Amino acid sequence: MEKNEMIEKMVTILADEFEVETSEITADAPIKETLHLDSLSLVDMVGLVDEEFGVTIQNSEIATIRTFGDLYEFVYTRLA
Amino acid sequence: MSYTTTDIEQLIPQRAPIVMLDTFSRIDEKNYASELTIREDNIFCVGDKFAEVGIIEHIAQTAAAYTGYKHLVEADSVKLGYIGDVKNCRFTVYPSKGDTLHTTIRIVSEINDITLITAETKVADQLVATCKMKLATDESK
Amino acid sequence: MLLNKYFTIHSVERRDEDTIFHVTLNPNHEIYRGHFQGNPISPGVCTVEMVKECAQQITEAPLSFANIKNCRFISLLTPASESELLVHINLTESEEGYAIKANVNGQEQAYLTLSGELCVNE
Repeated sequence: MEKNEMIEKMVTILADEFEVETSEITADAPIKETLHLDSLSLVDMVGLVDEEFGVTIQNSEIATIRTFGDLYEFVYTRLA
Repeated sequence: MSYTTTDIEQLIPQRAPIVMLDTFSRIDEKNYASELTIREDNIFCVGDKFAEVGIIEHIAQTAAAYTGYKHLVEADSVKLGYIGDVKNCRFTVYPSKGDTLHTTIRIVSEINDITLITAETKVADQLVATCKMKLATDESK
Repeated sequence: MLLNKYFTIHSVERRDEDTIFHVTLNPNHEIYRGHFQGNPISPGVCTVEMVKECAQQITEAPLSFANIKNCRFISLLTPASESELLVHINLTESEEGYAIKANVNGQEQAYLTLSGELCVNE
C-alpha cells in the first residue's frame, strides 16, 4: 500500500468511526482531542488500526503516538 | 504453551454465586477459550432459560480470566476488573439449563489496563452470541 | 429474576419521551457475597437486567435482548453508597420487537447507557 493510500484510508475510517469531519484529521492534529477519545474509545481506535491495517500498537508504544502524523509514520513503517 | 484450568478462583476475583466459568484455556497468545455448564442453581436462570446477561457475564469473566492468567504467569495477584462497554452484541440462540456454553475470545488490543476482546459463544455447534467487549482492570487493588 | 430481590421499583413516571423508574437496590442480595468479597460492587450485567425487567413492566410481556448495539458502564455502582437510582427507558417498535434506549443514573453519577433491541418471548 502506498503511503498516501494508507493515509486516505486511515482518515476515512477514523472519521467514520468517531463521527468527525475528515477535514479535522490533519497530520499535526492531536488524536485524542480531535476524535474526543477517552480511555475506552482510545482502545477502540487501537483495535480499529489493528483490524484495518494489521498493525498492533502495544501499550508501551501508545504514548509516542500523539498526532495523526505520528500514527501515519507508525503504521506505514509496520505495514506488511 | 497450552494451558487449561478448572481452578477458576485462581484467575478471577468473583466468587459464588456469580462465578460463570468452569474451565479456562489458552489457545495461543491472542486466543483463549472457556466453558460453562448452566446448572440448576445458576443465578442467571429464569425458569429453564439462561438470561442474556448471564452470557455477557460469562464472556466478561473469560476476559477477566485472561488478565488473571497473565498476572499468574508474572507471579502477580488477581486484580478486580469491570466491564467498560459491550458493543455489537447479538444473541442468536437462548441457552437452557443443562447446556454447556463454549466461548472463544480474541484479544484485539490492550492499552492502559483496558482490554478489548471479540467473543463468540456456542452451545454444541450452534452460535449463541457474539460481541465486542472492553474490560478495565483496577491495577491498584 | 432480580425484581423484588435485587431491586424494587418504588414509582414509575410516564412521560411522552420515556418512562422513568425510581428503583432501590437491595445491598443485602446474595450476589454481593461473590462480587466482590468484602467489597460489594453492583455487577454491570445486573444493571442491564434491571433495565430489561423495567422494560417488561412497560410491555407487560417477557422480553429477551435480540441485540445490544452499545452498552457503556460509566461508573462503578456501590449499593452501600448509592442505592436510589433512576432508570430512564425509551421503547419504540422495531423489526425485532422493540428498540430500547436506556440510561441509569444516581444522584450524582451516571452509571449506564444502553441501546439495542428486545424481542417478546414466545
